[in-house]
Amino acid sequence: SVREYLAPVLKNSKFKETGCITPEEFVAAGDFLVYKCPTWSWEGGDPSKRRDYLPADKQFLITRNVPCLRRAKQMEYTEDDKETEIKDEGDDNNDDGWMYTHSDRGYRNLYHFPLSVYKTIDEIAHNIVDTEEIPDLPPIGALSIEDNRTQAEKDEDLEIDPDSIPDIDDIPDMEDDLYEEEEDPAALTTTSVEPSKDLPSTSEESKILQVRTYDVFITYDKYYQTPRLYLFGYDEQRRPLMSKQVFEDVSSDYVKKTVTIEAHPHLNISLASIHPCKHADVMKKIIERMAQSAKDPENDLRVDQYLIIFLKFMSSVMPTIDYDHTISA
Amino acid sequence: MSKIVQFAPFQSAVEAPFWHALAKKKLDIFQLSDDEQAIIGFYTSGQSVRDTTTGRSVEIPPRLSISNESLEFSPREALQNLQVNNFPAPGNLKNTNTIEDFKNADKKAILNTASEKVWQAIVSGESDTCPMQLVNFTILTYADLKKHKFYYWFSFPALLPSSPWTFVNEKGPSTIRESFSTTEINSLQETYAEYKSQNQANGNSAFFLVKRSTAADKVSIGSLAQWKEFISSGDTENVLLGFVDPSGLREHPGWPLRNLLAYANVRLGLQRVQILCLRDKLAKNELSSSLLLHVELEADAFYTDDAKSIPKSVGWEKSITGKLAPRLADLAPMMDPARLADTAV
Repeated sequence: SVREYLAPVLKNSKFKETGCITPEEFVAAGDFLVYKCPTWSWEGGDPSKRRDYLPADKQFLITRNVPCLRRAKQMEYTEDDKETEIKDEGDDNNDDGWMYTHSDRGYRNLYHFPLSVYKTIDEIAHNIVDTEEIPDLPPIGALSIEDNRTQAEKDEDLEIDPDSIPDIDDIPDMEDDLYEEEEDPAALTTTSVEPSKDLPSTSEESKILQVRTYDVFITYDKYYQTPRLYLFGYDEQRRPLMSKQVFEDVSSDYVKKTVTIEAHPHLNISLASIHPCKHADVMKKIIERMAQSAKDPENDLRVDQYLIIFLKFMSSVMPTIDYDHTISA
Repeated sequence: MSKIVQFAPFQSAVEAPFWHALAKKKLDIFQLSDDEQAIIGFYTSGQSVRDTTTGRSVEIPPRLSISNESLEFSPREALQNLQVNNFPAPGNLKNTNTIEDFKNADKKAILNTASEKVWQAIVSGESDTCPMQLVNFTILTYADLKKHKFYYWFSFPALLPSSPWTFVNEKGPSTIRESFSTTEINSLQETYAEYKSQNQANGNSAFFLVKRSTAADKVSIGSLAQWKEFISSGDTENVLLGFVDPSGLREHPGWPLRNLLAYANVRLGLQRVQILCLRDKLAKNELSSSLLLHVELEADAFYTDDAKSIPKSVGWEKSITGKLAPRLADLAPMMDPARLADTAV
């Protein structure tokens, strides 16, 4: 199997000490993700942008058409909205930590995971999403992540041109000569559903639900030595989302801090990216916590599971972009 | 009156990098040519996802995607590079030079050309061995390179019978679990996985025949070309036409079934047919959410009453407002160098 093939290569990995991974480990973790969740796949991207430290056909990972049913602020908890700013002891002058406010889906899964798992390695990818079976536990101690960027840099991320939202009205005179087709009672008609309204029940007929979708990319960031996540969104009518609209699907605490619009390293588009400057720190702390709560050291975390945990961590940033279904059984 | 089978139309899904690839091709290769280019689109099997807030299952409508690779690769390369969970649809791209050409393009003629291609594949028997031709599409485009605006209109030709297909029993579709035993479903998963791996490379894993052997609690799978062999024992009751269904909707099969039914009627001479809508949950070879349909065409219904003519067809995608009208992708915020400079970090 894939895992057997990979195991010996990764013996001397430093990922537990640093939270960082090498390009080889990124490929191994990517292979494992693709093996576990076939909706993810490798791509080669633009050959002129190829990175030689990664195989030509494994430059980045992609999962397409991930549905996003509602906006992030609709996910915010009304009661029990405990704002858990996670801090390290002894880190006092931090006014800007990673906020785990209403991000419980990702956060809770992530932190409850090690206590309930460690049965067999194979079950990890499944159990990581099985929140229902995991009892609520008291919040655990603090993690602290700083955003070192200047205020100007942060503000820059929020600059959006309000005129940039495309409008079908822009098509000049297109409906002047309406083209007619044959009567077709056998075609299902389409209707748009506002995300704020209740979703139609499954029994409702003759209605097609239209939702925002995202293409989610994971690249390897050589500088930070971590994976890096990019998001490209499409609205209910498959028009590309503007950055402002993408930010509606990012947990509000992160919008101001860690989400930027950048050029895709392997494709010719610019899109939203979760800035990786703190990924290694967070991953290191998550891995440490998982190691502490592991009962059996034999079943220790392996580096090829890195991306599955990474994605769980990322789901706290974008709670409504539901790629998690790719991981569950 | 019997219940009409209603098909969920494909929703076109153009990935943003496709437009960049089109702009580049237009400048470097097409230039002023507006000849049709063969490209490969793709679709996945129908999905439903769990809404984490309500816990309800949300059914995802069928999509047909094109990516930058659809343009950068030749059709042959694109087929070979297709991801395991994607199924191919051969298409044609016609990129016009001006907005006027785009507006004035003869929509009816374009649709007819594509429908005729599907029709010819059926009557000639070509689709016996190359059934992906049943999922043909056309995309008409105009690229406003200065403004980074892309006008486009998809057409997914579907051949129409003189009166629509109806369900044999009022109930409509049933789930595979209602009819197949667990052993049979397991056997289907096993044999389909093998069939898919053998036919993935030639792009023909999306259409197939299924034969149930109730005595042995097993199913076997073969290509459409094996029809005669499959029915040779006279046991037609247990032979189903199968296809990878891009629709995740509980009541509605996806668009590719329309031309498969034309194939069943015209090429195989069937008036009543059992269909397996194969839905592979999360591409994990988990087929238990598949549907079974038992459908029929009225005795006096036909696709064409004259051997020389081709059936009527539909296919142009409706716009956001539900009208037959094109769409617009405005990529200025992602492609315009001036605007990119603004957002650069």
